[in-house]
Order: sequence, then C-alpha cells, then structure tokens
Amino acid sequence: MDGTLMTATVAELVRQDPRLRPVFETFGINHCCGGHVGLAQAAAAAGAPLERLLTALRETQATPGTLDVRGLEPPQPLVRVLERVARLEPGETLTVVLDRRPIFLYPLLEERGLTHETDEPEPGAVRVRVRRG
Amino acid sequence: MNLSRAPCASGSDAARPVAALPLTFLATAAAAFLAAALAAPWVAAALTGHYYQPALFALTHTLTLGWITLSIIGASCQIVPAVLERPLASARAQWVAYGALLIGALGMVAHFALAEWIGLAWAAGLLAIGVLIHVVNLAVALARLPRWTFTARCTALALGGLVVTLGFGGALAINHLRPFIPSVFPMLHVHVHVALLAWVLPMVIGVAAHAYPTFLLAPEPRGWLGGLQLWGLALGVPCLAIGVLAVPGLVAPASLAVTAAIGGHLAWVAGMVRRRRQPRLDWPLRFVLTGTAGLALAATLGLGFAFEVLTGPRAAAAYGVIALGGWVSFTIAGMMLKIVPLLVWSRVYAPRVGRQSVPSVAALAWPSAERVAYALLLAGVAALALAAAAGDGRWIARAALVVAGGAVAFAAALGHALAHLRGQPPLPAVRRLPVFGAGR
Repeated sequence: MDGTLMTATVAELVRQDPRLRPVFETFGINHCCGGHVGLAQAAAAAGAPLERLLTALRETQATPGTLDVRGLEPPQPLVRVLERVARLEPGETLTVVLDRRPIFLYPLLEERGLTHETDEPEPGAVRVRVRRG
Repeated sequence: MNLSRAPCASGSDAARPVAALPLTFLATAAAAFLAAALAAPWVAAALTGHYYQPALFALTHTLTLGWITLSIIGASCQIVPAVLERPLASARAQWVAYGALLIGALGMVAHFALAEWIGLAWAAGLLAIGVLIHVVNLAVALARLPRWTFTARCTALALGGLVVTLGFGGALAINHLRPFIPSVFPMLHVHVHVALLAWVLPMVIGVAAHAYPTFLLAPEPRGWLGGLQLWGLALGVPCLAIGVLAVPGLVAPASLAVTAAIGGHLAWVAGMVRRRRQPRLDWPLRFVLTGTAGLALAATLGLGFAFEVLTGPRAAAAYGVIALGGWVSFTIAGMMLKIVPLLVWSRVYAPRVGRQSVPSVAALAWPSAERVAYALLLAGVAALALAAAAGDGRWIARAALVVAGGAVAFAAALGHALAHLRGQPPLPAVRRLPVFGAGR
C-alpha cells in the first residue's frame, strides 16, 4: 500500500479514495490546485511530518467504506479491490466504484467467499457492493 | 437502476472468463508471425515479380490467417467478456473453433506452398468450419447484449466481414479446381480488401474505442465520428467490392467513404493521445500508435490505387507490406504486448492478490526486447516496402532479415510473460496479509 501512497500524486490519491481528502486538509495539504505532486513533496511544502501523514492515510485506507477505482489502468482496480476486501471483517461491506462491470473480479470475489451485487447509479459509473459473510 | 447480483454464477465455466482461451489463440498467432517473418527472407526473391505466386500466397496466408485472424479471434474471447460484459456463449465451442482454425490454416499454407489445390480446398473447408463456429458463438453473445455500444456494433460488422471474406476466399479456392470466375484478379483484390476493411478494420476501431483509452488513461471517445466510422465502412466496403467486380464508377466514391471512416478513427486516436493522463508511452503503446500511422499511410496508398495514381504489381506489393506490416502487424503486436502480460498476470497472480505478495504486471514485460522489436520491425517494414516498390531482390532479402530479427525480439518479449505460466506453486491457504501489487 505504501508503494501506491508514495508513487501516486495527491490528486490521484484523493480521486481513488475520496475519504483521504479530509486527512490532507487536516495536514494543510492542498489536494486540488497543488495536488499534482507526490506525497513527500506535498508534505514538505505544507510542513507536515511525512510519517504522521502516512500513518493517518493508512488508517483511513484500512477502514472499510467506499473505494473509487475509476480512471486506473488494468489491473489496478482489481488489485486495489482485492487488497481492500482482504481486510473486510465478517458482516462488513465495501462499496466499490468502477468505470465498468468488473467481469474478471467477480469470480475472484466468489472464490474468497464474498458476495457482491452490482448496479449503475449513473452513466459511466458502476457500483459493486462487496460483503463478507 | 440496473441491479444485478453475482452476474458470473459461481462455478459456471460458461460464465467465467477463461484466460487460457485467448492466451492460446494469441500465443499461436505470435508463433505464426514468427514463422512468417523467418520464412520471408527465403521467399524474398518472389517479391521482385508478380504477387500471384504460390510461395507468396503461403506467406501472406500465414500472416492473414495465422497471425491476424487468430489474434483477432483470440482477442475477441477477451473482448466479449471484458468489454461487452457478456460471457462467450460456449468456451468449449471456441476450443473446437481453435482446433479447426489451426489445422485449417496450417493445411492452407502448406497446400499453397505446394500449389496443391484439392488439399487447399479441404483445408479451407476445415477453416470455414472454425470461422463459422466462432461467428455463431459471438453472434449468440452479441444477441444477448442489453445495449449496443460502438464496440459491439464494430464487432458485429467485423463478423459479417469475416463471413464475406470467407465466401470470396472459398470461391477463389474452388476456382482452382473448377474454374468459373471469368477474371480472378478483381475477385482476389476484393477478397483482400474485404478482409482488411470489413474484418480487420472494424475490429481494430472497435477495440481502439475501448482499449486505447483504458491504456492511455484518456476519456472514451464519443460523438458523430463513431457514426462516420461505422457508416463509412458499412456502406463503403460493399460499394468498393461491387465497384471492383462490376461497376468501376463506384470505386472512387466508395474509397472516399472508407477513407472518411479511417479519418474518423485517426481523429479519435489523436484525441485520445492528446487528452491522455498516461504520462509515458510505453513500447506497446508506441507499437499501437505506429500502427495507426501505418493505417494512415496505407489508406493514402489505397486512395492512390482507387484514383489510378498508383498502378502495377510492384506498387501493390509495397501497399501490401505497408497494410499488413505497417498497420495491422504493429497494431496487433502492440495490443498483444499489452494484453498477454495482463492475461498471464490475471491467470497466475490475480488469485493471489490479498493473500500473498505478487509481482506487478510491469514485471512480466521485457521492455528491452520490446524496444529492439520496435526498432527492427519499423526499420525492416519500411525498408521492405521501399525494396518491394523498387523490385530489388537483394534489398528485399536484407529487409526481410531485419523484420525476422524484430519478430524474434517480439516473440522473446511475449515469451518472457508467458514463462510465468509455468511452475507456479499452489495457492497457500487463505490468509489475510498486507500485499503489494501494481499495474503497468
């Protein structure tokens, strides 16, 4: 996960997981206009301690909720979802937003004993709710 | 709101995408490309004369059937589930089609080389069975589509083009046994152009509209240019065929309609490249974009023939090299270098994500081999086209050797990815571990 955190730009991280936005705001990092830089550079510019920022981002990412994997090159959406659902506890649900139906993801979810249902809340967005147990 | 629960029924082989199927088609196609490229220097002398020769027919059908058609059909096995979001009607039938296509194509190439026409007709019949199984398999899947996207329409158009290509090819094969075609060359030209413009091109533009934005990280193209591409081909190619066979006055307007369709495709690709978020063009993407430039050049030469600015077998040989080598081969090679590592990764490593550490897709690629393949194929194809136009046998042989070197490097790059299919340890019991995985 740190590999992604350290290689993606701030804007990409927020786009992939909007829950990270308040974390950046807390640390005084501009995720919109100044979001084109990497995490280390953004933290340095805002005078934020990188280790604390990373810990906060990791904790937020570790919390089940919504995962937006639109605009990522294959197989990144599949990787991100499988990494996240590995941490799902019984009874927990993860909502994933994708560009299209993840036809190759479904069997992998089923192999792991996860149930899923898919809908299309708006054109160009597919939502998959993944639930363990 | 369209709600569906578990669209891939658990344990259903028919519904579950099968990576082995497209991988087998694509690996076989790559082997055919390598075989054709290695054989090319041996038949180079034939390119100095007229193209109507058994050795050249054997070579071109190794490319068109073995390399191009098997690639496209293999890619279709991936496109239908991944892009059209529907499983193949029958994976088992597709394996039967693979067997018929492989044996049929091998038989056709061998009998072309031997100039043995009865065997050719039998092999063509077997190939036709494979083609028809594939067409029915995809048509059933298409018939179940809830909505007809641009890619779905292109796929349907291409399937029709494949059947018509098969019809013209079959007529030419029968004509060798019982001559009934008054003039073979117009029929041969129609066979070639229907194959390229009604079978290959619709699949290329259909896949491009979906796969290119996926890999370039660009918005999917929309708008009237899509209609221009579809209508330009749907109207232009039949009119071109009729024009070449019976109504010469139709050739020029039909060629303009096809060129307009190609122009629409080129404008879409240019737009995707301009608006891409992918900062770096890797070698597979450079292959694909070079193939697009090759299409523009081939279309220009095609217009030259339509308006009789270009004539003669040498110009036709150069045109064929640009179309098959510069456009189709670069496009297919680029897509293959993107898709094969992804398919191998999906088959070997995707089930392990979230359970253990897995390599990235990029780790399956071999950029150095891709770079060498790109350089040699580009130089070789350009030199081969020029040498064929000049009718210089010595330079044709040298250029063919460079192409062969490029094909070896291309095969090595694919082999590097395919090697990951072997010797993978069994999956461990499910554990929850932090994992790392990154895309290309």
